[in-house]
Amino acid sequence: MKQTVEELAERYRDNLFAVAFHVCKNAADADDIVQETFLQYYVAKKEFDSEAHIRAWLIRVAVNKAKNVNRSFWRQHKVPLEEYMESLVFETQKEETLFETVMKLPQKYRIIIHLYYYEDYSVREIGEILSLKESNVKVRLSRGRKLLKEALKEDWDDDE
Amino acid sequence: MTNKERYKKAFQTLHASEQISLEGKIMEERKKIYRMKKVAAACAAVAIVFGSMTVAYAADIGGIQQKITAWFHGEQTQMDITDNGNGSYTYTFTDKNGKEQSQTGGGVEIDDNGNERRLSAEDLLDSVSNCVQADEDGTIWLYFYDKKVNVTDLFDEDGICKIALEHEGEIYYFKIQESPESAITGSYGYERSPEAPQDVENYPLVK
Repeated sequence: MKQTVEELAERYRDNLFAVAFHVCKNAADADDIVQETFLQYYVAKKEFDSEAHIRAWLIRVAVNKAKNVNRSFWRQHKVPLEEYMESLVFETQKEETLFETVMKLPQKYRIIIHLYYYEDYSVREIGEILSLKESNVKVRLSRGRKLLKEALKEDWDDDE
Repeated sequence: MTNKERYKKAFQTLHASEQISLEGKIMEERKKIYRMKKVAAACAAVAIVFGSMTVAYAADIGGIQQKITAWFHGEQTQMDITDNGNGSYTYTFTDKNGKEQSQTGGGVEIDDNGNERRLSAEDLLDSVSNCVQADEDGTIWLYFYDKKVNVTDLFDEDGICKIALEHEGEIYYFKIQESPESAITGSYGYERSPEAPQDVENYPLVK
């Protein structure tokens, strides 16, 4: 199956933005990555089994592109995270603290935490998307949760 | 409230910019320069290899070595290439002053899944031989084997440069454009074809 970019963008542009942002921590770069990810879909000669397959593929591409941006010598968007955060609207201080705390996690924990808690992927599915063994995903998820618990204390449940 | 609910509430504040253009027409335009951008990315990667790496005198280097004749900025150069086995290559060559030098670097291409594919030594050198680069002063050069052509003033109002170059009796038609969505400032991509385009009259020939 193949869906139009417009249909997919309607549903997933914000999800891809959040995924990219978790890796590169920069809104302008994340926007570029969303654009490039949909372009990659547009030009890809690839058959998809289902919408879930497309969604996972888009997320994988966005993560890879964001990692590439992080490695790039030519990174041009350098607005600090703190500056961007001033433009975000949080309903409560706790939400802002959670956001900040996640952003301080190492990137390898951050993206797994996001795929688990925001995108509702299982450990197995996260492993498939990130090309990691399930055992690696479990370890990173566990360490990420532990760091969140240490930082957020009663504002984060011990859900292991 | 569960951790998932907390997390989703905190991160639902993230939204992609409204500036992102995903209309079919715009995607079609971007598709045209997609391949050009790949070339530009590889080219820029190699530019780093040769442009800003610290130059060191050739030393006793290990790994698998091969000799290759390459064009670098319009000049034919003999190089020894050592595959370092970690995605990088060491190129050893004799510079204009007769001094032997070595530089190390690598490059990647991105496949349909967004995965990186390591470029071969030949891919890298091909990119060096045939690419578009801007000098620090903004002069834009097209390098193609033994040719080095200043194309700075050949860009039209749409930012497209068309030029034809002759190499070994064949004429190649180039359409050069800055890669607008590239993360690389001032990087240029190009389409190259040995077939004459429909508007061939717009391609000045450089022999």
